Amino acid sequence: MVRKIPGKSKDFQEGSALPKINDNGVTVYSMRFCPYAERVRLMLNTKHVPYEVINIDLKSKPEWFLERNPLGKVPAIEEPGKKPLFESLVVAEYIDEQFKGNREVLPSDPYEKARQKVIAQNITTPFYGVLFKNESGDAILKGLEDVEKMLTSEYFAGSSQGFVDLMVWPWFERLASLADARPGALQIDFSCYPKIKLWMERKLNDPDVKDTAYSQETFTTFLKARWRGNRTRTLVFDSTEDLAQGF
Amino acid sequence: MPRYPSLQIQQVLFNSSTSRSAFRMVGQIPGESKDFKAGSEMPKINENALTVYSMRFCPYAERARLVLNVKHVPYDVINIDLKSKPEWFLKRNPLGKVPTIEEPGKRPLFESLIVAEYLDDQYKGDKKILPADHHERALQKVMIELVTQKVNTPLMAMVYKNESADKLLKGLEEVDQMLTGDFFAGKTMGFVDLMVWPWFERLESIAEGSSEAFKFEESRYPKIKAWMDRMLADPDVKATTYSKDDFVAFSKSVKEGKQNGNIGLE
Repeated sequence: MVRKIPGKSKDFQEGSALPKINDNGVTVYSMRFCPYAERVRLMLNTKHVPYEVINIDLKSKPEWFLERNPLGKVPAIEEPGKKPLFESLVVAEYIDEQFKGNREVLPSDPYEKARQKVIAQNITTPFYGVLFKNESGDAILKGLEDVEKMLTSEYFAGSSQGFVDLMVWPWFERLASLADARPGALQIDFSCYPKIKLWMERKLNDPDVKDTAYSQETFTTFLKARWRGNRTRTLVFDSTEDLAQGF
Repeated sequence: MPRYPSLQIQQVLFNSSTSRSAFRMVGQIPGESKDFKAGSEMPKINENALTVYSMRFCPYAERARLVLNVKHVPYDVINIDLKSKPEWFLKRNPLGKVPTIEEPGKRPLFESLIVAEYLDDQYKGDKKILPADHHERALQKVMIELVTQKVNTPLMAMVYKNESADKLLKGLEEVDQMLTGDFFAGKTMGFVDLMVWPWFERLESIAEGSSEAFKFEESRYPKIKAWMDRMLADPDVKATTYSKDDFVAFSKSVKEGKQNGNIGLE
């Protein structure tokens, strides 16, 4: 049975009216292709905690969104009666602590928890430049070499999926598309990184991760459009369910 | 003749049964020791203690020391010459940054905010700094990020990249408005206050030593000024701070390309 994952909805722009906010639980302010926002959605989907999504047009932000996060970034979350929270790693950790769900992602031991957070913070740095700043792919290739060495078990967290695995997944999810969308700038031969390749396959075998992920083609289309400076609101989507939502 | 106790003597002082009162009476905090450079031999680590790799004037390393000093948790310090890092330090943190902490039998941890939170969680000490409520904890971390973007980052850019003071001045106005209570955390000093303090601590000395048109006019930021006075009224925060002269001398050494973490020890 296919689980319904929240978030396949049109985004809101500057000048739009505030939609009705979920008064029963968590609302996530997101953008479908934002890797930082995906961290929070992955955490909620992995724990099977219910939530609603309001997607934001990041090129034209509604005023009511800027009231919630003056920095104007996704992810941000809101619960009835509580001030909004933002900063993806802070929000992801908060969700794990606050909501029991069907599993705990971070370890309860303070030292092991801290180690997970250190690793999560340090893995994504080289990816940022290529995704957002048109930097060369060399930093990513070096980063991949380092990460390949770090995978001494099946997952970054050990023998089962943990916090680091979820927090870094969005960047690896986009790797093939990055190379696809800019063939001159970045070529990735995954056979050079067998452990990463295996880890990625294991991740995609997890139904919660699979449900959160988008196809490589969708990402490639998004990235190409973004780098051309096009608005990405009218992307072609890869399922009839998406089309039925009336894009 | 060394002016400061060796690591071993400090450890005896701080681990004795009267350690907490001794800690505060001496008025001296761990870490007033000369730094180690590349090529130096690693000092003997106390196998029973928490070791903090630090640099006396590094604001990030100060975060870890503030948490420990406020909680009255004993620890050893190994200061590192950040312009000439020993290989044994790079083994512990390949990124070569302070603060890095090491405990017996555990791999080192680094990243100042993660370390600070861990120290509060792991060590009981005399007080708990972070709130137990998850949402409150997260709100404080959000506030740290806001103050970082408005003040800490523009300050570092002004000092180290010669950028103008405009962003910092604007940021100070915005942060002044964020202070709706006595402290960022509310009625009493909390995690967010300690985590952002090192940058405000340096404002006056940076203004003095700055060739840019940056003046820290306290009258423009009355709430920040009142908060800074309250912070310095805390004996542990006061014990951790350095004199304006020492801060100015350190900044000067950085600008002259001769960064000297031992200022005040010589």
